[in-house]
Amino acid sequence: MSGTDDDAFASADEGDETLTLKQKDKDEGPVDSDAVNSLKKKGTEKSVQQKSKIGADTSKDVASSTESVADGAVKHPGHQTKKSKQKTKKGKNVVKSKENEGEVLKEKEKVKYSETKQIQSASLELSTSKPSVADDEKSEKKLQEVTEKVQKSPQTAEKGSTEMKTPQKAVTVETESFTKECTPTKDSSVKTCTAEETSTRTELLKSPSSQEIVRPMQDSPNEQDSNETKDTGNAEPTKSSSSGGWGWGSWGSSLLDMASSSVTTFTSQVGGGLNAVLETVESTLNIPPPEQFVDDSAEKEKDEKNDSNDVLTDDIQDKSERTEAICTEPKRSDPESVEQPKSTTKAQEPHQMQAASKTSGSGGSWFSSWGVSNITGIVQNTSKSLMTGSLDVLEIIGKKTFDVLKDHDPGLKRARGFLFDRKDKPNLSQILRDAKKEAEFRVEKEKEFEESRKADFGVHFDEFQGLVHLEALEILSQQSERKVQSLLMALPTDSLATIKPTLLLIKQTFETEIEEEEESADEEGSQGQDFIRLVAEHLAELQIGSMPNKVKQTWEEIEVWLAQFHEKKDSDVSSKIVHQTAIQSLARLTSKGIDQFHKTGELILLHMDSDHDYVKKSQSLASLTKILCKEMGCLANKFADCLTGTSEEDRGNEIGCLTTNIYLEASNSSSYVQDGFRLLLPVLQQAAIETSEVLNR
Amino acid sequence: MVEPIFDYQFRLILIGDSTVGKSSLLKYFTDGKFADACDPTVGVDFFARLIEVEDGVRVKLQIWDTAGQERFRSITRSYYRNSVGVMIMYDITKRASFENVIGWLEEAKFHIEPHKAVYMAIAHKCDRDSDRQVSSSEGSRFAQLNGMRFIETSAKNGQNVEEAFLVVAKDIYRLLKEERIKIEEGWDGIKPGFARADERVHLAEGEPEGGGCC
Repeated sequence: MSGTDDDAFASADEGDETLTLKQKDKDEGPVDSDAVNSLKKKGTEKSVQQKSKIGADTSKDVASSTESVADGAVKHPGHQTKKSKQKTKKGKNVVKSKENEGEVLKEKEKVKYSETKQIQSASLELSTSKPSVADDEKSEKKLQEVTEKVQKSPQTAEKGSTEMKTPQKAVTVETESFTKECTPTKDSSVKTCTAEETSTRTELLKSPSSQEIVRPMQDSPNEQDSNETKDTGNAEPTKSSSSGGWGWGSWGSSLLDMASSSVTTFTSQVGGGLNAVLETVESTLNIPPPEQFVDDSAEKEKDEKNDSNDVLTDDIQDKSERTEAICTEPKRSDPESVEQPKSTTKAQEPHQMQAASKTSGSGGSWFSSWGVSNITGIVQNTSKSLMTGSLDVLEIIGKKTFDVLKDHDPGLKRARGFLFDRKDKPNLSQILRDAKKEAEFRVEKEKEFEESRKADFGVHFDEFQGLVHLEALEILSQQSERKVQSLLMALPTDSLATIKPTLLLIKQTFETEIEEEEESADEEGSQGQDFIRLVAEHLAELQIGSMPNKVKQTWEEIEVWLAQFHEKKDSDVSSKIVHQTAIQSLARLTSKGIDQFHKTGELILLHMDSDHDYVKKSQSLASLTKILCKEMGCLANKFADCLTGTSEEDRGNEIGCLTTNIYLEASNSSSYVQDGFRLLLPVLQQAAIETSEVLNR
Repeated sequence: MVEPIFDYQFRLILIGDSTVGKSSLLKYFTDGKFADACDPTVGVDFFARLIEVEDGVRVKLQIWDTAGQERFRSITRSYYRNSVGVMIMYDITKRASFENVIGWLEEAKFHIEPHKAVYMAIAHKCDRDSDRQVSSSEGSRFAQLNGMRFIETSAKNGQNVEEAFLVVAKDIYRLLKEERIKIEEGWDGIKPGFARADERVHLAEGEPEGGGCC
């Protein structure tokens, strides 16, 4: 319980942070790289949260366009096939490049992982991680180089898909798109982009990928991989949202980038292209029909908006799980990217072209050289992927988070209360009070239960091993029974005739004695010393060697208790205690009796005795049983006396109940003893046959 | 004194040559005491203790302590069948007792199968290392070869006594969870325990009243 509370508090703190961050985000706007940096520094989990938040933010932007797309989709479900193809290919390429980038950055990311951990511990300072800075510089240089390259030869890029495959290029493209994103005003962005900016972007680019690698370490990566590869479609978008600038991944951001720029220019074409988007998505990525998809996505967005708060805070609350949940999404992007890289030149074309156009900065000239239709296609593709990507991301994030939340927080009550009402503290104390009450109640109940168990014959009978002795005796008896049967079957008729009288005599002894015992139940209880003497005598008659007389020991202990009770009559021993002791004593004596029978049976089977008169032995056993049963009745009487002695002030009715219960359990004891006795019959018969001269002949 | 509630009861049987220390080990396990002198067991004795095999899962171990003497062998044999755990003990200072383990194992398997059980070899009296005649590695190799658990114990200093039973109980519980061992009618190796307090209170309370009516 304390653990949960601690968690809750911890998460509360973090939640505050996140909220402030979020605020910051909103204030400064998504383009602010500083904000992004600070966010990034907060470590993996937070960045995950931020991503989702960013996703949410972005979702707003996307939302409007989504609607238009939806409309478009419904209206013109026609012209998509070509574009969709192009789209898919492009997507694959992009993914591939991403993959390459991932390779380049892998090493660094490993370093980063450890850093991230440290950062997690709370240091918000940006400068803490030297390696990352170094990394940034490196990649910055690379990126610059590549950017230049691309700028110089946009045509080459367009021609050769092979070239495109080199990781640097991919990164370049992404970087460019980032640049675009940062300054969404069309073409000029590339020119204005300074080295500084590039570096920032590089960092941004890195952050998502580092997380991708980090997470697998936290979760079980293999499983996820296999799973992820399957739902490529979903994962792709996720990536874009999770990575980069203010949440959009390297290539995803490039798409966004392109989309934003191109959309402004060719709004009309985009409109057409957007309907195609959904259908394309449907056909290529196995996503439900457009209408449904639109509905879903709209819902998702809603969810996202509504629950984004819950989600984020909750993320913090149950760190690990949520992180996991969210982590999986970004991770997915990798496998998808793996799946898609098969794509060819065409896919890359648009990408590069876009990049190129941006780099050159003269959009018009590009349009003329490449043709408006070409660009339109690109735009369409871009917007398509953008839309699908963002929608899927939102969907996945929303779904996952919601699921995770729901699992641990049915109805999201806790999350809501936590986020909106801030009633945690009063609630907590209330909860604690309730818990205390509940615990007390439970303890009380358990006490009651324990009390009742204390007076339970069966419990004590089991505790003193009476039950298991009886069980073992049963096993022995069954075994003997089988043995007797097989022995008798094997015997020739004349031998059988010789042995039969003995067996019958033994049997009679067992049966008659029980009847006699029942008659003698009313008789006056034996004198204490008589009982011990008789038990010892009969055991001796059995001639089973020296065996600890447990019955005697137990009986003496009971007598001691009774004597003590009568001595200090003035002291208040409650009727409850007397009752409990009575039941316990009876159970114990019964257990020892059964124990004795069991041992006797075992020893008889071993023919340890010199005397083989089993009729006599069975008579001794019968007497023993009789004595034991009688003693049970005696003890019951004694305890009943004790009860009536103590109970003047207690309610008479209750005493009556307890007394009756003692007598009941005494007769219960007697029947157990008799059961044990009866079980010995086959044992004696077996011994009689085995030791008889008949068999030896 | 009152027996607490448990979820399952596992029946274990402890076998091995006489004087290897079966009863001593059980005494230590249940009472925490070591008795120097010990009467030879007649037939079979019983010990019981509750242990926790997992958080909140309490198991009552009912251990059948058999007589190691050869003359009781015919009797103890019949007690094997209802065991879900078999602990075969040898004395590290008596090589013969170790060499007899295989015989005990075969006998136990013969009587227990087709039921499944967990087997463990217990090397006892490991406090007497100077008199050792069976090395640890030899013991563990033998156990591994025969699909048994292995542990070295001493009832004198309490070494590994608890662990030995815990290992067996956990193994059984794991098999039970994996449903490789099941609670069966007519087989007492594993029995469900008493119900939890809240379920039983009513029943238990009702009893004395019932007595009154009679």
